[in-house]
Amino acid sequence: MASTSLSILAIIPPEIAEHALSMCRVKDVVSFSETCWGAYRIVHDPPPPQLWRRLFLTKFDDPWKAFRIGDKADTSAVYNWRGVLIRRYQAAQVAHGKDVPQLSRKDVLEAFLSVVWDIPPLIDPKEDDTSRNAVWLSLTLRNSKIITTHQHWSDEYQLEAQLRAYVALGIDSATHGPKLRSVYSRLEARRTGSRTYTYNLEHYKERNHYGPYLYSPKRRVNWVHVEALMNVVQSNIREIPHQWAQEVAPPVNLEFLRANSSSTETHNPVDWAGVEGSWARYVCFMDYRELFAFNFTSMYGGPRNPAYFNDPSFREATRLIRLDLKLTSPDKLKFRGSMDAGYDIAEEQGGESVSSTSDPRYPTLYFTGSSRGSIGNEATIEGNVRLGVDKVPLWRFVSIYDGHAQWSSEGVQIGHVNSAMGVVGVWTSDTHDEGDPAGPFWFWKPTRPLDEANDFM
Amino acid sequence: MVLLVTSDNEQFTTEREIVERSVLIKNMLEDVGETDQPIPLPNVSSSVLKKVLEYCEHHRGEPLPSADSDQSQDETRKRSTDISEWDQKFINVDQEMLFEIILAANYLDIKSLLDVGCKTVANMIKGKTPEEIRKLFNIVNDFTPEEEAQIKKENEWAEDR
Amino acid sequence: MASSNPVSVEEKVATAKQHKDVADQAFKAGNTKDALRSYHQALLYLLGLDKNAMQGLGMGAPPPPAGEEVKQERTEIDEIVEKVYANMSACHIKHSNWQRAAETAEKALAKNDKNYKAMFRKGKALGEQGFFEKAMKVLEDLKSKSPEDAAAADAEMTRLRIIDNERERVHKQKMKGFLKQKSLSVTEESISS
Repeated sequence: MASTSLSILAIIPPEIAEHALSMCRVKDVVSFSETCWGAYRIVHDPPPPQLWRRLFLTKFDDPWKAFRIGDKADTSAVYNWRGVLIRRYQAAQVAHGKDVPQLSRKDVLEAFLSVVWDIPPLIDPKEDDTSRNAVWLSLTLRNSKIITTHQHWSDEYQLEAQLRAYVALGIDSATHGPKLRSVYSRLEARRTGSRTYTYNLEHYKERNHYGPYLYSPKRRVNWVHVEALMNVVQSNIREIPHQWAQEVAPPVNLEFLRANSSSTETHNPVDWAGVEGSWARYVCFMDYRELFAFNFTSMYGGPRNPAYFNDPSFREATRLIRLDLKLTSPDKLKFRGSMDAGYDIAEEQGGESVSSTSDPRYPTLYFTGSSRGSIGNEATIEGNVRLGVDKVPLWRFVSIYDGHAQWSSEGVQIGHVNSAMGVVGVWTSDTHDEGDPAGPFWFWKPTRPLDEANDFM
Repeated sequence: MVLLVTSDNEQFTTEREIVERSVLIKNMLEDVGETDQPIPLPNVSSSVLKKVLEYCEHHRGEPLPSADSDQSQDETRKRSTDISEWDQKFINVDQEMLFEIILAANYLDIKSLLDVGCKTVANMIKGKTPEEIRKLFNIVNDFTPEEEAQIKKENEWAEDR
Repeated sequence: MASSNPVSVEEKVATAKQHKDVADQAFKAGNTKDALRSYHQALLYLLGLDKNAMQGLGMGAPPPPAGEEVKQERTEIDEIVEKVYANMSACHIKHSNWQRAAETAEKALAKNDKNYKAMFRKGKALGEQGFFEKAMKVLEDLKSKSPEDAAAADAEMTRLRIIDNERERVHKQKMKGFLKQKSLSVTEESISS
């Protein structure tokens, strides 16, 4: 019998066709669906969840394995595998200049950020399970306008800056390799703008809680600010003689956004934020006379004219500090009051709270420790870390010299809880007097603790 | 020894360990024990069963996939490229036989063989245009030009990826 | 292949039905082993038939008139397969072969997720294998979907709970000495609870 005249679809039942298609690449499945009605129906009408799940998982991490805070994952909900896959592909097309009328730029940014949020936690560092989402973001956003342009790409400044804060430096280093002294055009182009934003003392007022936050009663992260801080610190690190800076630099690869990607030798189950251990912290600052001149005088057409930083002789100072932290109970802290100021402690601890941030699994953690710099100036640290309303861990601490709180620091976790990328923020004077200095910092857990002989200049 | 009878009434005698690559037959033998009664396989022809038994014999003794575990994650990790050399040679048959093997593997519940067949089909499709896929599998284009244009538009999201 | 196959789909289905009838009788008579043998025979005829019924799909424009007929036939085959698997599950439960009981119940449910008998058997078989949480989920599901089976589901859940509590008690006793040695701090204990 001339069975060769039968088409594949006449011989193979749909469930087997589906199985075979689930081993294909997305593009090939779509091409198959364009051959005839029968093929179209198998793929799209209605889309078989198992097929689209398999296709989805060839490109992305399983969203059910993502690290979620607060929102109770509804496991009975039907996940729209095909819909989310299409949305992400379309976002990638828009990022590379294609016009996709169905999507606003906000949709596009939210699609990319959802890929960041769905990056699963690192369960076992010894296992080689690279996050597909991290790889996809890296490949997709490389050379995309969202990353490369230093004009704003959309009106959604916060979303855009948040995405760049998470991925841009990682993509830079993946694209340019680890040569720390090479000039990075993207970062260079952003450096002046980032400095202008970072060293503008108007950005350290009570209304934004003296930190990288928006003007709102609760601390909401100002990602434009965070992005600027990261750029300033990163640019400065790259100017440090590389023999040691190569080793002592915050990790920026997208893998290090993962929850629990930070190295922890002894894991205390209470310590969800990975507080305990030895940290490395870069602190940057402008000479105070320069900071004053930039902010309050008309030099270079000021005040606060970006041109101020165009003077090639201008440099900031960058210091490396070792922090050693351990958890403690809040009533052992001398400066607890300043740490909890602006928070409704009763609301955080009360079970009846409706606040989305008070997830019982992530209670506010209090810590104490020491801070040691190159000149040997040692300070005591007291602080806490809590989940902010954005579900991002927020760090807050004071540096105490001779029993007096001198500096106060506000930091934002870059990535998921206990991410290796660490915490970026600003230090200010604890008294917050008019005209007091401020500057950026970045701390993270190095793979080995800093040691004074080798790491400090 | 187990006796099998195909749709075209040919008899095959084979070892239990070999034929138990088929979960359908394995379950049966475990549930009711071996008998001298032949096992009818009315939905497999002798030419196909010969191929299937060749596969089972080569892979005898290998662990069977467990029934309930969710392996999809692992499966997606090692994709269509990982057909072993022997399997590739084995599955290098004409299209009709390929489909018959896939159907028989599905019927007899031999998951690894089903996957080898499906991966082979996936590799055949790889990188081809819809027109090339039609030619490959003898598919008749039953879209009107308008429908075809509409569906291409619907699928624009998958372009260049 | 169709040409070399002397038996039509209708004949195969008829043969399968005969085997199923024999099996049903054997099951009623208490001969579960004979029943299983005949159910398996039925499956050998029924499975893999779908392809023949699928001819026509993809050959013509949106659903050809013949399509309805094809669908009808498919449903009938599916229905018999569903019943065969559900009954096999009952046989396995009689033999306390819990793993196979759960597997076959699952197969019946794959054909028809409203087969409440199969759902009950799946729940019971899972519970007997020690998959307490899974079993509870299935039985709760059954309870919410079929009021008629609620009482049976409840009774089974109560029974499984007792078994599970007993298991837990034995486990705790074993752990007790161990925990004492470890002397976990208060905080760690409150985390794990």
